[in-house]
Amino acid sequence: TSVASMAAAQAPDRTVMQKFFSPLVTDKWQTAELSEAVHWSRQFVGLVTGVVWGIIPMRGTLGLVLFFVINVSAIPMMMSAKINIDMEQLGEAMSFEMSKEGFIASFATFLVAWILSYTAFQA
Amino acid sequence: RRHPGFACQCTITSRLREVRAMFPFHGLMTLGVAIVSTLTAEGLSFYVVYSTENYRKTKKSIDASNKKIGRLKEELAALDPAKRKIKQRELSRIEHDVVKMDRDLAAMQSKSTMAVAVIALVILMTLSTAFSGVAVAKLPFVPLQFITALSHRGLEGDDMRDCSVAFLYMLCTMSLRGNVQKALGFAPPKSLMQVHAAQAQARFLKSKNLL
Repeated sequence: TSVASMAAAQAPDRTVMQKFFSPLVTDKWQTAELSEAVHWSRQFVGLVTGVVWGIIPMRGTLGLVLFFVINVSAIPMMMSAKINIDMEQLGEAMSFEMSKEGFIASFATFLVAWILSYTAFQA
Repeated sequence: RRHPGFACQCTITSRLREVRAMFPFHGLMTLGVAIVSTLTAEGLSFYVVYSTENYRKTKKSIDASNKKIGRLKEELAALDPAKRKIKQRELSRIEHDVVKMDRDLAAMQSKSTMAVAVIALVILMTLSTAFSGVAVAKLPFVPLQFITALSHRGLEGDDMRDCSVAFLYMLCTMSLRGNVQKALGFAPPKSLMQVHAAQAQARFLKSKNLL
């Protein structure tokens, strides 16, 4: 056990991407790291939703409303499905204060993707 | 008689022509300009603000103080109530210092924000002149009236679904700035007051069983 604990103490901290894509049971998430994972997940959801909305095509306010619903509901599901974390810590990472910049950026990403894919496939 | 493969070739060529005609060249050009301008602005911010000794020193002090705050909170939780007063005083003093350092960092960051805004404005004016009267994309929704002032800027006609370069460029910049900052590690850390507000919001969500 002393050798194992020395090895654990010397092991370098895993990056956010490593912890997210190859999660281990021993991983410990800081709130800042969780906030970063939530930010990039939001951007990915915004980009994919925008492209799909442009291909379907989705038009009008319904598309915007559905994006908000998906963004709010999909992120906790993705995070809890992918990694093992405390929900209070996730709530802190996803709170308005921590994620407002990420939400604005993901909304802008979604709009750009939607506008360009709509123009490409429908206009 | 034409070879049977000829009809197939015609269909493929006409489909390729259709795809090329639909391809949003102007929209993608606007996105390309936004990417280059964001990277240039962040590069400039790096040399003017982020790489300065003052900024690095302040950021390092904030990180060290936040770690100290975390350690003190753990020690406080393990102590008897009678022995907590001195540690509590030390914690309050460090938090006060961190709030001051956060304010200094925000003041330095505001210089970079202003520089980025000026660069974006100059490029926007150039793009507006170059794309005057040209709808760079088609909007999938009709924007609200106060947004059409931007989204239909410089365009003729009544079709409010025509998108001007100004609106698309603004959206691209909003999307790219935050992501480029985060990707390059230039994003400022959350201030202590923001962290406390986030913790309070999380406790509220948990109390209402929304988590």
